[in-house]
Amino acid sequence: MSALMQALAVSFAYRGRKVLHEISLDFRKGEVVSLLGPNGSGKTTLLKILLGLLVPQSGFVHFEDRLLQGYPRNELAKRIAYVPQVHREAFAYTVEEVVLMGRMPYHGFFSTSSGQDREIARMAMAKLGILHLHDRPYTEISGGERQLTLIARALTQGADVFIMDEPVNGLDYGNQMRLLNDINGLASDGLTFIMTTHFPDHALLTADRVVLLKEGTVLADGAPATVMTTEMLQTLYRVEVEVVSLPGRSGSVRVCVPSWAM
Amino acid sequence: MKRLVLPSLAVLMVGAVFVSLCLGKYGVPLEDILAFAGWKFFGLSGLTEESRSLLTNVLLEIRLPRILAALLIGASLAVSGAAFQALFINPLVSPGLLGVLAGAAFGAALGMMMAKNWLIVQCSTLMFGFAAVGVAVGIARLFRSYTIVMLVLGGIISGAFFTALLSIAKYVADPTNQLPAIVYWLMGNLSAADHGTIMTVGTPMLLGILLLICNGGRLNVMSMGEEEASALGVNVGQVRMTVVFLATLISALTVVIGGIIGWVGLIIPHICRMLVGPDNRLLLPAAALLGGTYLLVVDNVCRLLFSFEIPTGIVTSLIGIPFFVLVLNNVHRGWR
Repeated sequence: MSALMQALAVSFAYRGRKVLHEISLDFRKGEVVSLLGPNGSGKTTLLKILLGLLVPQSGFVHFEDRLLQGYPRNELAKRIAYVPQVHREAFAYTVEEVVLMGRMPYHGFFSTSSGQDREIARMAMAKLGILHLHDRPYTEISGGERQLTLIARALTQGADVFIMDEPVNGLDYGNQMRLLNDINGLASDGLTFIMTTHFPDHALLTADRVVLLKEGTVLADGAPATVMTTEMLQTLYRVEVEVVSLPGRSGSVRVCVPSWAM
Repeated sequence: MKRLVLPSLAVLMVGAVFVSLCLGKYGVPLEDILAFAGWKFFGLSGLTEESRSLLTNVLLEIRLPRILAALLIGASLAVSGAAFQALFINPLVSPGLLGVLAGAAFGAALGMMMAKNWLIVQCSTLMFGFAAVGVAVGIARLFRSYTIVMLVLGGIISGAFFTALLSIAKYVADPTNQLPAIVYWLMGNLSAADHGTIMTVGTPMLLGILLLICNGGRLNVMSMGEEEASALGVNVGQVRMTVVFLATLISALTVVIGGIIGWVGLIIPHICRMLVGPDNRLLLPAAALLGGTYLLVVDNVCRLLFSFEIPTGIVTSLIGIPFFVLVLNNVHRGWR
């Protein structure tokens, strides 16, 4: 199967400080890809390049066999959505207003929301179980609900690639697990997820594929079973951890545990 | 509920215009105004020849230009304030953020010193308003980081620079004629708003206000931060430049008509946010309507309260500051 999105020898530097060194990666349709790596390994920079927010100094990014930079901004927004880390907003937009912003790439000069836009926004909110929050101010709902709102906005965009920067950051444990389950559900509908995470366990729970980034290069890239080994994680994070198997109801479940706790 | 706000504000504005036409040293009853309008627009004959010429003078030559000036200045300041608040993601920002008012004030002072011709003063006001924003944007560009923070810092530097230039202008101005004129002008007042000025600056101001209102949806997305706006399909650089240009144009033109009138751009968007919420597609037209009405009412007070006129800018500040203290608590809820 050909790649939906492809990075070819991408390099990037901030004011001469090199962050990414000739990274090449393929992303296929319907995949959930987790990017793992220590702080400063270039994860977020890579996401911004895949979103077209940053232009690599050398190398290319292709989206469906066309150069990413060749797409007009609003055409790209209809295909690739960005789900940022949970943030507080300056203005108390309602949840519905935030979700409706996802229709921006379809709007004309006056940016008026049609009945159809509202319908699409309602369907997205219903899918993520936040329809009852539609008239609540975005500033007054919980972090987990805010993250779901941002995902609903990405759905409303009509995008098939979701790029998420540490989606569970700042959420409590229950919301983290619910969100990962939601992502699994959306991926089975054929959506592609590319996300960064600081938790190896989350990659083990959700990802079809894991990319380990270290100092701006790809340390390993492949299925969690082959990539997420004790040796790899120890090399990546320089900490004594072990990946162990637990007996689950359908096959074994692998988790990551620090050695000192074993 | 929210749907009724815009029509209500429009009705309020029309009502305020009629009341303002009636009020003045020479009181005109409402039926005379209606009869005059009937004669002017439909050719009805309800007035004597004598009162027609009198009303033409009082209503069309004296009161209407001043009413239009109040509406345009109030609407411009409120809309550019609301637009800047969305653009800079901060509800405490005012239209002068990028230095346009400081630049325009200096331009006006310089014009008054250099030329007797009022048109030259007005051109100088507009030009230096743009120059100050140009300096702010230039400083942001200088560091090749064209971000919001750099723009704001550029605006602070540029504003301080042109305020210093204004002090120099005041210092060297002739203290018997020029200095009082400059000081009085900078207090902000609408008594200089004549027919000719409104005819020339009215169209660009109205156009600027309408075009900013058309950008409401894009401003909503911009207020989520530039990366999100970009990922939502908005050309961030282009929208930012458009909004800064339009806001600079209409803010500088307010100084051209009436000097420095403070606080309207800060408090009116706040009241409107309480009425219609933060959606800029509703907020900007609401701010335009309420801002215009507010300044019209304040200006009426300024010209009627005492036997002499009070500068309008002083009264807007006197009302604006305590009001702002009152709403601070409200601001805090939505802004952390």
